[in-house]
Amino acid sequence: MARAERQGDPHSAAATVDPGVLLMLRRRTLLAALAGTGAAAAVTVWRASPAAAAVTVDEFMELSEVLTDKVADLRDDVGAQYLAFLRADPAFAAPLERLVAVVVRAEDPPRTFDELLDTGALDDPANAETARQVLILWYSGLVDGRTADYLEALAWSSQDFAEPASTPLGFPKWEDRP
Amino acid sequence: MSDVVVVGSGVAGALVAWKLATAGASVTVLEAGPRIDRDTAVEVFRAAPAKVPESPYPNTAHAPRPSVLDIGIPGTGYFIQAGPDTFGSTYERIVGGTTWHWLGSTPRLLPTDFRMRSEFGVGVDWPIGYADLEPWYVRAERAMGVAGDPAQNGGSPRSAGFPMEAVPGSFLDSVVGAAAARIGLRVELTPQARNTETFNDRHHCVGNSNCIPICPIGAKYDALVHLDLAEEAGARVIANAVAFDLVLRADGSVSGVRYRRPDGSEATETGRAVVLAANAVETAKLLLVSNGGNGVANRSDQVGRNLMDHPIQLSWALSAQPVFPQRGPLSTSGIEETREATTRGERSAFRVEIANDGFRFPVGDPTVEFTETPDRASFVRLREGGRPLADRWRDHLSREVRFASLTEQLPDPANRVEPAFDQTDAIGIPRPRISFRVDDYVRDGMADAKVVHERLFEALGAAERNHSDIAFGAGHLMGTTRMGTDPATSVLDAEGRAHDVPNLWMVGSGVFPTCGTANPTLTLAALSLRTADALRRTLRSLPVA
Repeated sequence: MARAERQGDPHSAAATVDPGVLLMLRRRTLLAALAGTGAAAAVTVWRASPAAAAVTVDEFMELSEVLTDKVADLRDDVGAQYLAFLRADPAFAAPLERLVAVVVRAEDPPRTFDELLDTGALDDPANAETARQVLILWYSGLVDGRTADYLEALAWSSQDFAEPASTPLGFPKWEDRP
Repeated sequence: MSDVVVVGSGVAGALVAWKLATAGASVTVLEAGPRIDRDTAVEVFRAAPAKVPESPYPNTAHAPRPSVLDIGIPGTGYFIQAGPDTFGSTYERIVGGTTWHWLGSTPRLLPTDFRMRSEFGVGVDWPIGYADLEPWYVRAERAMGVAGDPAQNGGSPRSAGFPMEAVPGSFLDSVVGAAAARIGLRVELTPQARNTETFNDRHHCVGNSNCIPICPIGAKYDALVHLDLAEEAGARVIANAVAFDLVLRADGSVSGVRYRRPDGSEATETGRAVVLAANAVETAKLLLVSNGGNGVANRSDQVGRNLMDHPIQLSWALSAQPVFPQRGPLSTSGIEETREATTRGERSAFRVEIANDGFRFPVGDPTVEFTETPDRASFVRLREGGRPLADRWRDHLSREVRFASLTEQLPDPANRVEPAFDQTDAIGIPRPRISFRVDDYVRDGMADAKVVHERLFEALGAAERNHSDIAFGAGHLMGTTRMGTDPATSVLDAEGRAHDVPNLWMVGSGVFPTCGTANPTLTLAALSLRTADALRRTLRSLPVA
C-alpha cells in the first residue's frame, strides 16, 4: 500500500479494524493495514505536523519496552491490538505520538522508565495518562473489554513465582517458599 | 426403554448410573446441556475477559443457567429472584454438571450435623445418622479419589484411611497456620477429590491454581470419570435432552420422563425407575412443573422449599510477609473447629476456607486488578512504570490472602424454588423463581466469622483488610427435596425414595434436611451410592415401564 493511499482516506477509522483479522496478517501487511486505517485524530496530527508519521507497531513496541523496562517479553501481534485501540481514542492518539517522539524518534532517547521520567515528558498529564494506559493494557491483557492476551499478560508474566491460571505445567510443589 | 432413567449427569447422576450400569441394569442419563471438550473450554476460559466460575462453559438457549456476572442484577439472568435477598449460587447445565467448576474440597459432615433438632433445638434431624453414612463416605472417597491425612479428621471419625496421600498444604497455609496458632486456632489440611498420584486414569495435580473454573488436566475429580465408566458398562447418556415432565401412571407411579430437544422436538424415555439428579433447583422445578403443573411427589408441600446455601463471609487483605499465592490447588487447608461452635443453635457455626488464589474471588483474576471500574482504580499509578511497577506488583501479589467462611443456613420453608409458569426459557420451560432470605442465624454466624478473619489478619500483621457485607453464594444448592421419616414433612424416605411415588428416587444435595458446614459434594456422593444400592436391590421388583 502506497503512502499516498494511506493518507488519502481519513474516514477508515481504526475502530473498524477487526483485531482478529489483524492477528492473522503477516507483520509487514499488518503494519501497512494499521497505518492505512489510522484514527481520525492521528490524521489530524499529520495535517498539523506534516513531518510526523503515524506510530508504527515497531515504534509502539519500542515505547512499550521502555515503559515496562522489559520485565517480560512483549508480543508484536498483541501490541498491534493495543496500538489500534490507543490510536482510535482521541485522548490517547496525540499523546502517544508525543511519547514516541521522545522515546523512539529522538536522538539519544531514554532506555528505561526512570530515564523517561527524567526527560519531563510525563509532566504533561495527557502523556502521563497515556503511558499509564499502555501499561494497563500490557499488564491486564485486556483491550476494549476483550482479551488480547491472557497467558502472557504482564500481571502474570512479570512475576517469576506465579504461572497464569490454567497453565497445564503448573508447579512441582507449592508447600515451600518459591 | 430402560431399567432406570437418570435425569442429570453431575456427580450424583453419574455415580448412580455407574453403580446401576455395572450391576447390569440398562440406564439412560438425560442431560439438559451439551458435552464439553476440556481443551476447548480451557481456551474459552483464557479468552473470557471475566474469569468467573461459568467462563469456560456455554450458556445455551435450551439449557440456560445462572452466572455470577448477572445473578445479583435485578431483571437479568436465568433466575427470577423474588427476594428479599439474592440467591447467589450458580451451576452448570452440561454433561458432567457443576463438577466441571467445583472446588474439590471433600470434608465430611460432623456427627452432630445430622441431629440439629436434638442437639441444638433448631432445624430438623436427619432420618439417618453419621454412623449410617460413614461406610458410604468411605466408598465415595474411594470412588472419587480423595486425598487426605487420616490424622486430621476435622471432627468426623473415620473407619478407613484415604485412598491417596494428602495434597500438601501451601506455603500460604503454613504462614496462616502459624498466625492461627498464635491466637489458639488450628489449621488443618482439607481432604479433597484431587489426585496426588495417577488415579481413575488421571494425572496428579500440579497446582496450577485453577480448580474453579476449570482444571486443565482433569486432576480434580469430575463426574465424567463415572459417566465414562457408566457408558463403558452400557449406559446411554443423551445430551441436550431437557427433562420437562414426569409421566405418571394411573396408580401414581412414574413410567418415564418427557424431554425436549433444542429444536423443540420431544421424546419420552421410559423406565422401571426414575432417578432425579438435576440439582436442588432443577430437580424441584421439574417435580413442580410435572403432572400438568400440579406437581409430583409433593403431598407434603415441601418440594422446592427449605432451599439452603452456605452463605459466605468473604474477607481479604495483604499479609505482612509474602505468602506467595496462586500456587497449588485453590484451597488446601481450613479451620474446622469453628464448625462445632458452642453457640450453635443460637447462631450459625462456620468453616473457614483458606484460599491459595489471592484476590480472584473478591476482586478478580490478577489481570483484572489492572483494569479500572467506577469503584476501583487500576493497580498502575500515574507516572509509575518499569521495574518499580513490577516490583510493587510482586510485593502486592505475593501478599494476597483470602478467607471464605461457609455458614450453615437452616431450613426455612419460605426459602423456595418455584416454576415461573409466566416466564419461560427459549424452549418454553418455566424458569426458576427463587424466594430467599438470609436470616439472623446466618448473619450472626457471618459476624462471628468476620471476627475470626479479623483476628487472623491481626496475627498476620495484615494491611488493607476487607470484609464483604454481601452474603456470597457458595454454589451449594441444598434442601428442596428433603429426606425424612414423616411423609407429611419430607419428600423422600431415608433411602432417597419419594414417599408418594414408589419408583421415583432423588439424589444430590437437595435431599439434605440440614446442611452443616461441610462442602456438600462428598456427602451427596455418599448418599447417591447408598441410594443406588437401595434402588439396585429394589429394581427387579418394579414393573417394567
